[in-house]
Amino acid sequence: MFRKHALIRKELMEMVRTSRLLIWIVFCAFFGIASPLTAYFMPDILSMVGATENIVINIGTITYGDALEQYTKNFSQIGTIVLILISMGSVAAEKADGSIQFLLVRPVGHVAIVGAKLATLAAMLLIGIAISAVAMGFYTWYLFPGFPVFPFVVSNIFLLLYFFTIGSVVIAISTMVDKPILAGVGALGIWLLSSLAGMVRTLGDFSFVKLVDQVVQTVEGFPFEWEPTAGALLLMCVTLPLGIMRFSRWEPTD
Amino acid sequence: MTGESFVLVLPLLVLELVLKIICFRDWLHRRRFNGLPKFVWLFVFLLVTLFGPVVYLVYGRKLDGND
Repeated sequence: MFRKHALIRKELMEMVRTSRLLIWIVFCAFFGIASPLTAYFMPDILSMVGATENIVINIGTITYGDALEQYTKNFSQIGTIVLILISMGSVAAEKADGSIQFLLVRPVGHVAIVGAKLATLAAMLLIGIAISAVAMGFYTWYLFPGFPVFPFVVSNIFLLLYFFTIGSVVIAISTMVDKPILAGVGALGIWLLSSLAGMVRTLGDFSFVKLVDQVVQTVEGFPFEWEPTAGALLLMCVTLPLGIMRFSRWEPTD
Repeated sequence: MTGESFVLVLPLLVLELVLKIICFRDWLHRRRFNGLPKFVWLFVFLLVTLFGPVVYLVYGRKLDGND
């Protein structure tokens, strides 16, 4: 138990030292605030663009649905890239600079190391998404009357699972390779493949990227679909054991 | 921009400013950088909104045991 606490404390300190926590919190707060604002000011922005180009742009009434769409689309796409960037070195960078060898000479298992990284990833994601949900909830409630705040807050669980799946895949690949950039490219590849698979009928329902759509569906009152959640769990159940297996066979080069 | 609009946008400006201050403080005390010369990194995080500070914090700084 003590070792696990020590490992998690080490990971938390590392998260603060490398500014990963700060970057994630700022990004989440930014998208939580900017999404409803962009939707709210969209008619003004378009009329300004139209005035400079001498054209008239007519758009329908802006509703909270537009703010929600901005939030889910922008946050899930740019947030994914940011999460990959800040997590790709979680194991690979420690292998490259040799710091992980100091851990492995102690009686600490590979599973415990990866477990501590996953636990701190979950904590980081939870803090960030809670901040973005509160910001987005407050701004949308203030700017768009009738916004269902409670279903929206609940729906962020799907966003949390979506980002945790990506983070887990990044960590899993990071345990397999020696360079952070390779972990980033690998995770980006899996994310792109999953996005493409999401377009395929039947199989696509199991793509974890569809968890983002569940946020909108929950707010709109549609029933829960289990397939994307099952796909996310399956992806983690495949990549994480593979990563740990490869990591346990890893030998330092010098 | 009306007063209400400014108040609504203000938290975004504060977030951006806080990020730039954090980067600037780090930049002042740091000697080693990745990829670009020290002064180029200053322009990157000061001029590029949101992504400039993020790229500096993720990639620009050369972290060592003393950080």
